[in-house]
Amino acid sequence: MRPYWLLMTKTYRRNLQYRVAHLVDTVGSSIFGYINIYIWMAAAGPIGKVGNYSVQQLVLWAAFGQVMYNAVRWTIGLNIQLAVRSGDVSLELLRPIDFFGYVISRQAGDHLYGLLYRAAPLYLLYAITIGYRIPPLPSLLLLIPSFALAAYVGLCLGYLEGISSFWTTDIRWISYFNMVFLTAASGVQVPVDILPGVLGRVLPFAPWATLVHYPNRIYLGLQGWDALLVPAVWAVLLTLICRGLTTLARRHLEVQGG
Amino acid sequence: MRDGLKLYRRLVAASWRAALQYKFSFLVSIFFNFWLSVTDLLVVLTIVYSTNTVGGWNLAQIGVIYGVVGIGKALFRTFGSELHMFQDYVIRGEYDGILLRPWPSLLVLLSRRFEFFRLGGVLQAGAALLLSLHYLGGPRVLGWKYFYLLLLPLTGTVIIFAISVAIAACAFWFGRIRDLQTLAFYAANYAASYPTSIYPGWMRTLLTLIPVTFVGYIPVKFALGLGGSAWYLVLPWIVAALTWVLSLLLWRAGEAAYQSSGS
Repeated sequence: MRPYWLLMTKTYRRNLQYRVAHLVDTVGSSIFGYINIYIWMAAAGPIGKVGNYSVQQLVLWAAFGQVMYNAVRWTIGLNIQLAVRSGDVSLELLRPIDFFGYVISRQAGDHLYGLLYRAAPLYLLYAITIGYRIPPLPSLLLLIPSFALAAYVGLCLGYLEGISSFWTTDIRWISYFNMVFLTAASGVQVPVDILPGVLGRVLPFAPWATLVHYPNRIYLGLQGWDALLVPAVWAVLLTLICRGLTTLARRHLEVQGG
Repeated sequence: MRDGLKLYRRLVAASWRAALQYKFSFLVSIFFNFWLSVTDLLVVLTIVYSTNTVGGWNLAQIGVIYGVVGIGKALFRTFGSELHMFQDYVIRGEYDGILLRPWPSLLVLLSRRFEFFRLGGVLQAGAALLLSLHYLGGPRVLGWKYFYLLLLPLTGTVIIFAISVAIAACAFWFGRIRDLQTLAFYAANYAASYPTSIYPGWMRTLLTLIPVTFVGYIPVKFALGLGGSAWYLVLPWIVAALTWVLSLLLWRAGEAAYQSSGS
């Protein structure tokens, strides 16, 4: 496990160099949360609740949703596509280390940094300006595996974007597709279960809901340990898919020599 | 100036013909872009559908604002894609190459690349606008205001373009402008897709200064009989002209301050 740990801490330390720039980015990102908060205040305020959510819960949802979004969002393709384009991927595949583990642990450092330097200041900002909720101890303990699963599923989705570059020269559409579902079906703007019609019944079981929807439900005390089931199933499924595709990619790889 | 526009028109036509060389791929990308951008609408639909109104505006009325802002945003991304990525030119020192051309720099920059597949977003927002206007009674109920609202995306596009020129110009001094773009383009346009009246004072001021509130909310408010005065219908044109003048002045000042980062 030591090489993976080293990779993670190295990425984390590299990010520390850009703390001030990232803080400015966090302030910009906070505006999205405020917009969602004010939209919910105006929309749900007069009627008191939407679905099973009260106005207060929706406001906290919008704030914590933005916090989670900043904690789990990933770099496009986890930069695998850059290594494929430059041919460096051939060397990376030669390393005596599992490629999937190598990429995931490298990016996990980003997530750890994001949690401490993006998500935490954002939560503090919203706590001061909007209000906050301290979940009871059981929910607080559940938030740890829920966040870990959300971050891991996010990394797997990013990995799928990146690994597709072994077969296509342009991963833009796959990344765009993922990004659209990240904003519409993850729960960052609206709880996924209040989406209209069949979408509200199906999308809570999609992988994107594990990123924000379920951690938010735990945070608000609306769900217990069962909020870990869907994320855990997706974590296993996506691991198998990512590993399977890595094996296929290894066989498929063609590097243009100079 | 006339020669410059003629050149721009020819380059757009050439780029369009190039895109059509791969008709199937082009149509698929437009179709894909259309459906992916529908998810933006889905969020608006979910909120208004489950609450009936937002700040006193119903779904069709918000649909008009959403459509106008959406068309402007997508048209900008179609024809202003290089402006959107302008920081890369400054950071890599590639802007020197633009300055060497015997044409106005902004014109050269804008004519370098067009992302026609983003017309899918224009179609999606256009469909939302048309459906909303139909739901509000169409020309029979809205009269001449129906046609005014159909043409409103034109001023909206001009304003969004001008704002983006100003954002890009900041790259001459600051290099990286991604954070400014997050605030003044993405967040501002997202906020402007809803009635500005729902936001607190500080955010309304910000959206007036940027000035995306004039893209949809202000003119639509009066046109749909929700308040304001006839001035609200003229204001977008005045704001569009003023924003362009200020943006071009900023661009010119930035260009004068530009120092190449090339070796």
